[in-house]
Amino acid sequence: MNIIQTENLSKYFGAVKAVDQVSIHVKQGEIYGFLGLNGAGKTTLIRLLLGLIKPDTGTCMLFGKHPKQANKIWNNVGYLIETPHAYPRLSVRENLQLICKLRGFDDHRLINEITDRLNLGEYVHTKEENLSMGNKQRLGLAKALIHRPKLLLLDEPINGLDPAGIVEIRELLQELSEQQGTTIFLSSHILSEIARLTSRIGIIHKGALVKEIKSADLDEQIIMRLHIKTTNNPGAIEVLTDKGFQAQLANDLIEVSDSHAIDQPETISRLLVEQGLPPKLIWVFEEDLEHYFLRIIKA
Amino acid sequence: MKQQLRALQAEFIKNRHSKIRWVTFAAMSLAPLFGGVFMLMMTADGYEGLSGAFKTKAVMMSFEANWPSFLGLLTQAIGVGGVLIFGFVVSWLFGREYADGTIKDLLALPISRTTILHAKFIYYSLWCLALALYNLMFGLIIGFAVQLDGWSMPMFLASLESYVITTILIILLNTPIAFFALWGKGYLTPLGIVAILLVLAQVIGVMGMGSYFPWSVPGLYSGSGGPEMMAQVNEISFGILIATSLMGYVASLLWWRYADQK
Repeated sequence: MNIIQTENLSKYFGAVKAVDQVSIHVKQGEIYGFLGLNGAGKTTLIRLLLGLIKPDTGTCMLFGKHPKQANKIWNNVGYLIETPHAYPRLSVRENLQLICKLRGFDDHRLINEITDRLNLGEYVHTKEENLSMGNKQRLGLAKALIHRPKLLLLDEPINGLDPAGIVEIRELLQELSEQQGTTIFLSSHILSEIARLTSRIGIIHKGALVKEIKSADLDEQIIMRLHIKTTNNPGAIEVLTDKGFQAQLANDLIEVSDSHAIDQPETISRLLVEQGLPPKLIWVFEEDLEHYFLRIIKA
Repeated sequence: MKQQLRALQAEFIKNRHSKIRWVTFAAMSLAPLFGGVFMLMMTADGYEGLSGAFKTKAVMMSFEANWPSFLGLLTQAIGVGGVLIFGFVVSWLFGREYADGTIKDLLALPISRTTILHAKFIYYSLWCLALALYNLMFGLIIGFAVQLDGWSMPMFLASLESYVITTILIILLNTPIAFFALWGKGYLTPLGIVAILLVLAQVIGVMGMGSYFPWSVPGLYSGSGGPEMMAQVNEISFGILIATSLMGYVASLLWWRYADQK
């Protein structure tokens, strides 16, 4: 069953297409990463999913139903949108009590459980206004997770966390997905984190979903090239072309895209030496995730 | 009902450590305190004990150093000061989540938005009633401390009726302010509106049209404009005030339920 399903979902703010004809299907237990530049429409999409704003066109369903206000469905949903705000004069415990009260729970063990799980135990009596940025983020996550939701909508969940905190949250989310079947929809502009955590990635640009890819297939999408520099690049290109390689000049470098050349650069090196064109530089260039992302959105 | 109670309990948790609460109570202390000083000065030398605007006002209002005048003063404090202080309370309660950024925590819940809005209105009413009760109790302590003349239970009950009605009128009058807090997404817009309404209430009151302007009605009813202006308040005045309150309530409800919460 699709836990999240949107069909041609659009939201316009005046002339700005904040979300444009987005169709997404997320299955149970899946961790779906939503990637985009600032202002690409990530947060607007999450707000649409939560019913905070209404779509101009298209439909949106959670757990196979159109989410309505005051529906019990919302106790299956935990969410964190952008900056994790909380009531500044209330302590961590009081902020969590408040959420429990509004969600209809009175089990204080839930508070202890989540504060322990997110290493907030020593701060339970600290006012939110006195927490560090990282601990504010943990409190935001605690509010999203306290009622053990089946669906998590997280907007930039690792913002403000230190490296140890990032690893901790990544492990927690993976555990929730693998052991409890929690479906996680998270948005971020940090590509490496998305790639590590998610099973599928959607790239959004100017409101439109421009690419969907399984994280496992990401390696196949990454461009690899053999880069060579010699004292006579045109001559070297001629030699390589004669041998059947696809070589071209780009920014004073020879780019060879054949997988055989990329896998065995020493063969190319030997060939050029034999032809009196020894390489001054030769290395395998592998496109990183940032370049991949920029290439996709430019396309 | 159970959900309504939970939403109300949530409001109590939210305001547990609120400094604003004490600020409003401190503001509400001013009228009994200065009223007491006013009465003490008049006890000694009558109108001659006063000077400037105080004296002009006292003569105009036929103030005397006794319980009826003092209780009237407390009622006027609610009728005029209440517009400001209760307006401050409603602006804070309905606008704070937008300012704090916590509004999103209230909108995708198994509890209805209407229930949450009602909890806010109930909490607001309780807060204002507590302020009014405090103003009265503190006034009584001051009044007995300065040993005012003219105390009697029938007189007190008659003054109390006017006091309670004025309080209720002001509480009712702030539903449009709640709407402006929701619409303006914070407490600055409604506070600005309160300031404008206060000025308008004075100007329109002086023009003699106050009985038809909702924000002038409680002040006139409390007697702050003198017995003549008080007599201008009629059923139409109350009708306009209640209609304004209803419009504010309905507008708040519709906005809260149906507007995009960006």
